[in-house]
Amino acid sequence: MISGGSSTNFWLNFFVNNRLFSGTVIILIYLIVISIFGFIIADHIKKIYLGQRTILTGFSEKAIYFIEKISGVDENESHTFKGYFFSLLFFNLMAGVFTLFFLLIQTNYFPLPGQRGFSFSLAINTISSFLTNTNLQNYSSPQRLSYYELTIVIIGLMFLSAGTGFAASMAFIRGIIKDDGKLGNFFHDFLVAIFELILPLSLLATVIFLFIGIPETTSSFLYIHPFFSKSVIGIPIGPVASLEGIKNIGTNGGGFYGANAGYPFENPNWISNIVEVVSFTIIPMGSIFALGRVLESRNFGRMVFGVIMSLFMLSAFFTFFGEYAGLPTMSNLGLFYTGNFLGKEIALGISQTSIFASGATMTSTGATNSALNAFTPAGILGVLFPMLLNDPLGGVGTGILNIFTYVIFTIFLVALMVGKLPELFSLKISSKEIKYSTYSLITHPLLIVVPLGITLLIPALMSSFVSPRPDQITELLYEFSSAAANNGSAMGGFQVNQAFFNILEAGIMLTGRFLVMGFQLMIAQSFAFKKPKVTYGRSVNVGSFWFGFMLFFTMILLGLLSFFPVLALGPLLAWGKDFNLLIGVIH
Amino acid sequence: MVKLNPYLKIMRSSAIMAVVMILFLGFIIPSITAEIAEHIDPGSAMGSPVEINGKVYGSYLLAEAFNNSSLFFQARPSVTSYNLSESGSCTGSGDSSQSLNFTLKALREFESKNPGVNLSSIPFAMIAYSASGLDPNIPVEGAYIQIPRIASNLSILFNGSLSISVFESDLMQYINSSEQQNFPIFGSYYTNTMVLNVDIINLMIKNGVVPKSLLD
Amino acid sequence: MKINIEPVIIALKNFRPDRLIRNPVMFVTEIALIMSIYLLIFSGQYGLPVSPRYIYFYTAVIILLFLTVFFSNIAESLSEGKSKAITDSLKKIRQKTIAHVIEGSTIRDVPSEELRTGMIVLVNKNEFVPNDGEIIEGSGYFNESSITGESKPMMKVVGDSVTGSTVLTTDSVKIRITADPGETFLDKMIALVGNSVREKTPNEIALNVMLSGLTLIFLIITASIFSLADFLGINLNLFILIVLLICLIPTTIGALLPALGIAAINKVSQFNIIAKSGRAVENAGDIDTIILDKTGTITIGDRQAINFYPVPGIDRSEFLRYCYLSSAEDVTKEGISIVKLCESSGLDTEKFGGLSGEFIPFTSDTKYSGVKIDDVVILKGAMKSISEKIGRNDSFIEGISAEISSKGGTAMTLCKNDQFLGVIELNDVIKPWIRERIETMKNMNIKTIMCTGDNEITAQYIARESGIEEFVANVKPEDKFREVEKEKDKQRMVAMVGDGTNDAPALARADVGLAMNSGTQAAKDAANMIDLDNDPAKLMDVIFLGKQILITRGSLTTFSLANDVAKYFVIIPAMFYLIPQLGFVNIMGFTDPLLAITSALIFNTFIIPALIPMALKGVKFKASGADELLKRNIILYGAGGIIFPFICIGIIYFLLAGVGVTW
Repeated sequence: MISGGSSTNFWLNFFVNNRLFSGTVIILIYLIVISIFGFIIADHIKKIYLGQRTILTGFSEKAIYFIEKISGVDENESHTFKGYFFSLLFFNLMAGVFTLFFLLIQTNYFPLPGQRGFSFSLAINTISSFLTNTNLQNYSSPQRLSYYELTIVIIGLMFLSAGTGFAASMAFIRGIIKDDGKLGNFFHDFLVAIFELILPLSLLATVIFLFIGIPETTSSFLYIHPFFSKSVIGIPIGPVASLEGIKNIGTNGGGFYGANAGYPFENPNWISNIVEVVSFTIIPMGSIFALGRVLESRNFGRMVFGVIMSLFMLSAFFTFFGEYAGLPTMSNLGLFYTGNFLGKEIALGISQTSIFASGATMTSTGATNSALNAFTPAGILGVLFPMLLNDPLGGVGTGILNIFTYVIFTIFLVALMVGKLPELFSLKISSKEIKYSTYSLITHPLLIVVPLGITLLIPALMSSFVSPRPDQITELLYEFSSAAANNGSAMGGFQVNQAFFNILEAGIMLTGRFLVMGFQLMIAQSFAFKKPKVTYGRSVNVGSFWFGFMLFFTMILLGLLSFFPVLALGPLLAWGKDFNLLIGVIH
Repeated sequence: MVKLNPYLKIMRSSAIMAVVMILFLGFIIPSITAEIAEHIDPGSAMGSPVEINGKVYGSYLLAEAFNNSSLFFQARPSVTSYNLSESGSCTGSGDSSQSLNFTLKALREFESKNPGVNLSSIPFAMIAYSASGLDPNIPVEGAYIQIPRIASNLSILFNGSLSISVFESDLMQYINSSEQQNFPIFGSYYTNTMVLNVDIINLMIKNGVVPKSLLD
Repeated sequence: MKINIEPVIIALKNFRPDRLIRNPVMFVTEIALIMSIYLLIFSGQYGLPVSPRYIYFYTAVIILLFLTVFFSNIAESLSEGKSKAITDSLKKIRQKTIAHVIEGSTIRDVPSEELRTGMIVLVNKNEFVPNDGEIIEGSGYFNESSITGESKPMMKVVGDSVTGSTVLTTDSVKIRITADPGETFLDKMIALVGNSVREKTPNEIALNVMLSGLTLIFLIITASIFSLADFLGINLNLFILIVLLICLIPTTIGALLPALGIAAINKVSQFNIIAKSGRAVENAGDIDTIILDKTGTITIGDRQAINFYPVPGIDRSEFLRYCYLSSAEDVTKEGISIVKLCESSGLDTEKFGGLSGEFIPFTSDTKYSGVKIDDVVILKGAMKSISEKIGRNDSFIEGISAEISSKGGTAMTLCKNDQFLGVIELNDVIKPWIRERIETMKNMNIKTIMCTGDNEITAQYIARESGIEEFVANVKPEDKFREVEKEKDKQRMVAMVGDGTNDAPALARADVGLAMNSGTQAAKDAANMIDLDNDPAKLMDVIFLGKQILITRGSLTTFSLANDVAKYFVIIPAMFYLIPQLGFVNIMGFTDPLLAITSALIFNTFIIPALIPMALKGVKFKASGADELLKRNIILYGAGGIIFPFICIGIIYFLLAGVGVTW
């Protein structure tokens, strides 16, 4: 029935009319495109990991030298875990304290017209959120931020958290490939990460966004006179393109507008959409490809890529099919129903919304171009499960740390199953690494399930929820998963700006970020003393299909074991009644 | 120089570097980019404004509530009532009563404004609230079904000087020239109500039948 | 058949929480057991339904929880029983005797317990050796059957070590005691089998951390279900929560883990090998390189006559006659083999019965042996020494000798007075099954390095014949240490066998050092395993065993974790049967929730005894590359671990329902 304009071409009509088919193709195109860009950047990331000169070194070393000079850092001073992690923590603490006071003073003493000041708990939450690369935004429109707050607090912390994450991964890689017991110098790693990778890429992204038509200005409002109205309205505006750049490149995800990338200024059409998806996957994806090259085991890189791609596809298609099938309550209205368009933008469509949402939770971006709480239960399950696995593709740097904890856990089982003591890249894995890998793997579900169990028991906290009860469980699970995985994707559904949630989430985010990072760097420290062995044949081929299969299996199994009851009583229960409908659509 | 305790040294470096980097990356860099952007491409840097005779009426990227809505293409329902300084959608989940009520209300409104439209030809997206509440885009099918209503109202506005079918073909042409796919080859077709409505306003201006309120 | 109830008693005793706390999984199970008994007694206070069908259900749960802990304990006590049996038999061997201590010129009799290191004791014929020591004077045959099971007495000479409680069957010797009471070889063995197994290996510690972590997660999750149910307005039965917890925590592997550790040591003992620690056995599984001696390990160790080459002009049967005569009195292994070969070559030896001459024994100076009959001297020895003796060379002899040595054999030249008679080819025979073993090792990605004192040519021949890739020829004993070092520098795990004192450093440096019981005390001290049968090739069995232990542990862990999927899919829908929308999770289609939950718990409980034999015996595996093995075990224990419980729980459910059990 769709005329599709002037074209009479049969295939064009077929693609336009068959949304299930076209959507699948669009998602596959996205996945191919992000893989290609990841592959392209991988060589650059590899050089950074190995401390080699890159095309940017000429410029960056001057900037790094200058900043190290004024802050009194000696880049040749290499630290062990203690020094490295202390630098990382204290640096973040200083940044947090500085921005916290700036935010409190600015919003409470120099507010914008009509701006309501930040309460202490909200400020703590906001700072923790941006400091940990989470970007959950518990503040809403009345607390709109001024230009100074947006730039210094939000953009500043976005850069800092991305740089911190990447520095941690540099230390981790160093722990594996070197055997002098040192992890490096955090400050130097941070500056290298910023000047050689994050800043150039985010500037590039900003320029592309500018060409697409995303606003970038120092003024705070675009004043307009709406048609047929006497009023003058100020549309909030500002350095949107700059923020979009670091928001995506740094896998931060916190939007300029409340609707995030669903707001047309942030994401006007498919071009901006694909650029955003590419820009928030490029560093995590590139790091994985770089991993294989750095460790001189391309098979390992391919295996990790394969596992992550499988998870990505699982998540994206689960979401897409779920959203395409839609909600029975709505599809039964008798309208021309082509999927669940609630809370989605027409210029992006269901498939591009699905891949964006799934990409945002596969990485720790958490940006969204749609209203997630309007998703179907099946769709939200697809978006949610990567967060339950602590963002398999991960944030800037942290992706490598997270996948390694899973790899170590898996290799322990696998090595035993083939009758070997565990080793990774010819480095013996002792009980110490297993211990810290287990700690970091159990911290994540504990950070989600414990607050969930407590919150559900307090009726006063549940009073701001408006959805049916199983959906409330989903919303709460989503909120805490997002905080614990430092993702920042928000489903909403309730009043988050309450002292209880502000403080609790701040705690979850900080623990989920720094405690887990500490465990992971302990693993690196333990590796840092080990000399690799010259293998005769390979004991367990970590690049093999079956290892990848086992890694995938272990990740899914751990996720399933940790969250099955909550999933069953949340999204699955809500899905229960839609289940037959979805099955019907797929067949 | 006195040799500092290594941890004290780290603490000092942390404090200096944190502040320096936040100011440099957070403030200096975005401010420079913004200044440059405003000079190079003031239009898009300011958010694709709709300018008629030097006056900014809105943005092509954001839907607006047209008070004389019977003469214009209707965008998707907005939870925030097209309030341009706000954005957002329903608090409740898709299955919540809040969401269902809102959608049903939107359906009733659409049906009452566009009488005679077959229920099964209304795209669901036309009554589904968007993520931002300001989505200016609608599926082309959603635009086609509004043509009869707008054409007949325009005909009334023009005092019958032109037949309904002329307006219908004009509107059809606006849609055809503004429609685009949301992904090359595989995407579905949509059109931008702001573009269509500005076309209609330009038609009015050309023919001198501009509603007075527009010029205030 | 006598039923041994001792393991049962030990199992019951081990219910004591302070003992059980070593095993966190079982400790949690016991707490759950106590809680459920409490809940049953005070069921009224907690608002639990108390209709008869529920009471039956509660009782069943309590019994099953009890059995879970019991089965875990019995698995442990059964394997402990086995090691106890071994220690008991070792204790029986330990003999208390009277030792004759030589002090200066006097001999004083003291009980063997009072002997101290450094004392010199005299052992007479048919007396027990009172303690471990080293022979300093005399030689004799020792019966070591009590320790090795080998009934043939062993000849020991000055410098050899002797083990306490073995019997001297000939002559008398003086020995210097090398161990204080309580530190003798037997004492150490008893202590090792009895206690050291309790020390967890690093690998076990890692696994325990992992299992404890999972247990903690499951505890929290179970608790969170309580709040979820409360939120949804469902009154959850605490008993069902307890069942879910027990089904989720890795009880299977948790129950079998201690038994697995003990079983490892026991299995090594069955090979007649004493492992000084469980860690050594585990390391054995992870070996990358094994360093083997040629002689005695790859080859039988004795050179055997295999062919005769008379010089042209000498009749073959005449040559055989001389060969026979030269060796008839020779008791060396070579001599015996020459006689044997003569006999099997058709020489009628009967007619030599009366002939007798004067035997000329082999000495390290002359390097030949032979016989002098009347005035005829028949000598045999290396070509070089015979040539020197008779002052002649022979091109035929030289040619044959060179050819033989190129095949890895030894040429023995025979001469009569000053005339060459011919050459006897001796060769060290490669053990028939060694090629296959080496191949197996290669399949498991283990490199074998052969060390031999032979020349390059011989070494190459043996290496080729046995399929070994790398060898080191002309090895002096200290070279072995260098070889171990070389491999260790590459961070590889090295295993080696040794028996001499000069092997000791290498044995100590290697990750797995297997010493022969016949070896010197120093070697035995340095090694971490001792083979009582003196078969160096057993090193490969130990490696195989080490792998088997690790595989068993890994497979059971994977299996245990994968099992949880089925249990979730059975228990969660049963738990929330009041919510019909959740029905699609009930993929098993069970209609009676209590029965479904009971079936899951029954499976969870009885899988433990079902797997005890496997835990004690070890899983079967084919020596193949890691990838192949991984694929097989993932399918078997990973995928199998998911599907198998579904089938079993289904069968249990329908069996119970079939016999009319309806709670």
